[in-house]
Amino acid sequence: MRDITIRINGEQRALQVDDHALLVDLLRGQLRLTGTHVGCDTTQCGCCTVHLDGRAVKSCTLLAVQADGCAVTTIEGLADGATLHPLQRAFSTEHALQCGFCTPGMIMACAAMLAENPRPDRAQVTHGLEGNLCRCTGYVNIVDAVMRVAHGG
Amino acid sequence: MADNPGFEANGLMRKEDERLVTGHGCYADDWMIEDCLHAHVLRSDRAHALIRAIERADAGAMPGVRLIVTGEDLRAAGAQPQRALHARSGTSGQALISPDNYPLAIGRVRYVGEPVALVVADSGDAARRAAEALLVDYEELEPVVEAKTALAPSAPQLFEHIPGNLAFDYRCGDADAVERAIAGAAHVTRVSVDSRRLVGNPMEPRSATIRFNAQDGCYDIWGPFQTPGTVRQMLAEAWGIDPERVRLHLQDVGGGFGLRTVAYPEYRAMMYAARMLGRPVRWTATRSESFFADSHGRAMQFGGLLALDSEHRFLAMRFDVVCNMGAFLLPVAPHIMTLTPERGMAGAYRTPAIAARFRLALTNTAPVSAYRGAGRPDMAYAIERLVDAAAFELGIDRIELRRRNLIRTFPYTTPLGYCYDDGDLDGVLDKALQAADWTGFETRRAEAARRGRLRGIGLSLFVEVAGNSIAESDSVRVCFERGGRVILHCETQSSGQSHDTVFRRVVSEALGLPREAIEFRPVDASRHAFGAGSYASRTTQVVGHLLMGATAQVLERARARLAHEWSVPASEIRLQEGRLRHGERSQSVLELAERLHGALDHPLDVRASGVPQISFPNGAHVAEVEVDPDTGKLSVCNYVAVDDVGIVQNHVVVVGQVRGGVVQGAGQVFGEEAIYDEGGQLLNASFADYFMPRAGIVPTITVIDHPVPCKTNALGAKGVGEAGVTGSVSALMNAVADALRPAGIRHVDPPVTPQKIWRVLQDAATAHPR
Repeated sequence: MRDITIRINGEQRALQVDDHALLVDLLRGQLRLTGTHVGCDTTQCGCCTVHLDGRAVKSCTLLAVQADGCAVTTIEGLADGATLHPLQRAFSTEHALQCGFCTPGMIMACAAMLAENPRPDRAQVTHGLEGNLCRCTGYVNIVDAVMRVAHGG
Repeated sequence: MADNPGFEANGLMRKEDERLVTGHGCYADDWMIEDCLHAHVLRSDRAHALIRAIERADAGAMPGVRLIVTGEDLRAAGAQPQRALHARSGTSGQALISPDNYPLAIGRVRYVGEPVALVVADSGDAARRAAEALLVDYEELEPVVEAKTALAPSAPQLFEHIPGNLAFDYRCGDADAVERAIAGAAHVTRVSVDSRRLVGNPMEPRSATIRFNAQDGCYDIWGPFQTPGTVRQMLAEAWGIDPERVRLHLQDVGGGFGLRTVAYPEYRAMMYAARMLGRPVRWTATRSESFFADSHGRAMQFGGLLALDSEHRFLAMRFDVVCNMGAFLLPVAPHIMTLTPERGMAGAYRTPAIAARFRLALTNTAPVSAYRGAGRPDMAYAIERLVDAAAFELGIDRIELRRRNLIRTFPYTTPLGYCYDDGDLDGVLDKALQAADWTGFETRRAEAARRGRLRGIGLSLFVEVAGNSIAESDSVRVCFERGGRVILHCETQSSGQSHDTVFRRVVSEALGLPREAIEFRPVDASRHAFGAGSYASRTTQVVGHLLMGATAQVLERARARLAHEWSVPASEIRLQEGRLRHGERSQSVLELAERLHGALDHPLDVRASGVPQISFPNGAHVAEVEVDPDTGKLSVCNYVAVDDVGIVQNHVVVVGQVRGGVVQGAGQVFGEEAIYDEGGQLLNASFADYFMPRAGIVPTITVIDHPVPCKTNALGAKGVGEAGVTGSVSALMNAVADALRPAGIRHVDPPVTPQKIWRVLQDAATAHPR
């Protein structure tokens, strides 16, 4: 067991974790933040994507102890109080989610993408989504949602 | 993006969107259930073996272990085997023979991944470690993996009572008429198409929590289900109890695609564990485990024949189909492999004589059942490859050949006896060809050739069945709740299809009430209304039809009530702008309902049930692709889908369903395939090894409606859930064939990986050097 400190969605937390605990297990288990999902076991699907110090990371492939001293933002922390993040809103209005299971990871990946490149073209958005799988939507609407946020209209 | 006037009050498209985009969805593994123990399933790592013994002593003593259960334990405790549902014999009169599928293997394992033991412990880790300590003494038997090999005389037999591993030999149509037609034909075209085994892979790995309540003898089960009513019945049957004693709890389901219709063995075994331990038992599959544990899809091989006369009119079609069912018949699998393709076997064409034979073979592989399309994409693929091949052989234009044989008069009864109620096949075809700029293609092909690329265009013109059901009937209930709410009880479950949005709007319009006053409750523990669930693209038309019937009854009762109160004839009371009116008097249905609440049944509560009717959605999809001959890489330049799904309830939802289906079909075309080696080991059981379609695989998908109202349900709707995949496998494969034909390649099966394309091009170049 190790003592770590993580700033989770803006809140400083002192936690005790197993050495081998994955960040995603800490989030979903001890912290009861079940918005971050586990979709695979080989780091391919991106359902577990969160932000670590502002960067999109796959929380299934990080140990909880690696987040010691860092700021972690999960999907639950993306909205500004009651105001949805533009991506959250656009995913809905563009019907970029159907079952919703990939959606938290998808939105977190897209948010990080836009933070790095606020006005991407469709090819860049498509490339940026390569780490995230979706089985329901066929992806076109997801690219549309990101483009809408990036370029308005 | 088309305007959708039906958004929720908060500006979001669907009610569930708010919780799903903020991480407050509740999927099976999200439920916080107190006091859970954790289960791990020990699975066979042999494809075919006798179980001589299971040594559990060490494992039982490990820390945290609460229970270890084997197949023998469960049978002794009264576990009933699961069998395939009855399937009517075809024209040969051969009956289906089903294996007995117990929750855990008894005496023998027949596929890698088959559950052998269930270990329950204080934590998942403890359960897994204990499972690893179990020693299973296997005596290996020879496995058989390919369906045709399993049917051959010397193949290893999986079950003594299923000779030749042939679980079902189903024939349909008129084989004699087909023979006569072939004898008199001017031309006969033959194709072989292979729709390889796929793994459905919805993004949510399967998870379940089961709790047994000693007080009422009932099980509470949290898990992902598309068909709560049917699954509940099958789980109850597994233990010989009444379905009333099984309560399902679910909110969000992370994708279904047919995989969540199965009453899986893990649940059946966990019911016992929960009862024995008196605490909830939870199990969550890893993704790799899902590759073995979830039902597989497709695995159908078609030999197809088309006979034509000298005017290029279709005289006959015949199909010889071999289906790899895996080691067990899942309950609805035989139905899917036979009746579903049979219903769409005429496709879009007037062919006087059609016959088919389906042989369902058991092999030492994971069981196969419905996966989006469930036989429809495979059937359409066989038909559309036949038509394209015939056109090429005859030197006639592919579109012209189709036009010459198109069904134009409706209702049309196919030679298999199914009635297409209405359609406009010329119309869907015209729209698709125009939107895809079919006539401009050869210019684009030439331009691509100058860039060193092989460009191709392909069409799929298909008709498929929607709404078929294994259940006798379906029902819904419309209730009024104090405080001005209308509750729709429909035992169905969306795994992303937006049922809430569609049905609340249907009822809102029918009763003249605001959508905010209507609540859609898909699953209710007390079971107001049995529903057969969501699969076969059935929910909109079946449930929608029943809701129309129910709301009509509500209005009839409301009118009768007001007629009495106002002393006027009920027939003079009209629903207008949200109120029932007569002269100056008016009342909304909600206002009336609010007044009528009392101690007894509410007079406006209505239950509507009926026998679901099938429909025949149809469409024309056009795919345009390019192949890079140096790398074998395939890319999709354009994709147009024109679909007749009857009266469109929500265009945005339709676009989403079609696009999702198109990309699933693209997955099959580009790279998906569950690969077993000869020893029955699944070689690519992870996302690292199994191809999954990603963003950009089909960058543009234009979806166009061509609504021809369905005549068999009150909404005029035809199913849309599978249209995308039914069209895309054949449209894309026909496009690939068109791209490769100038290089001398006649046929290639999916997946058309870069290696495969490169190889066939190399082989063709060697055979026909330029």
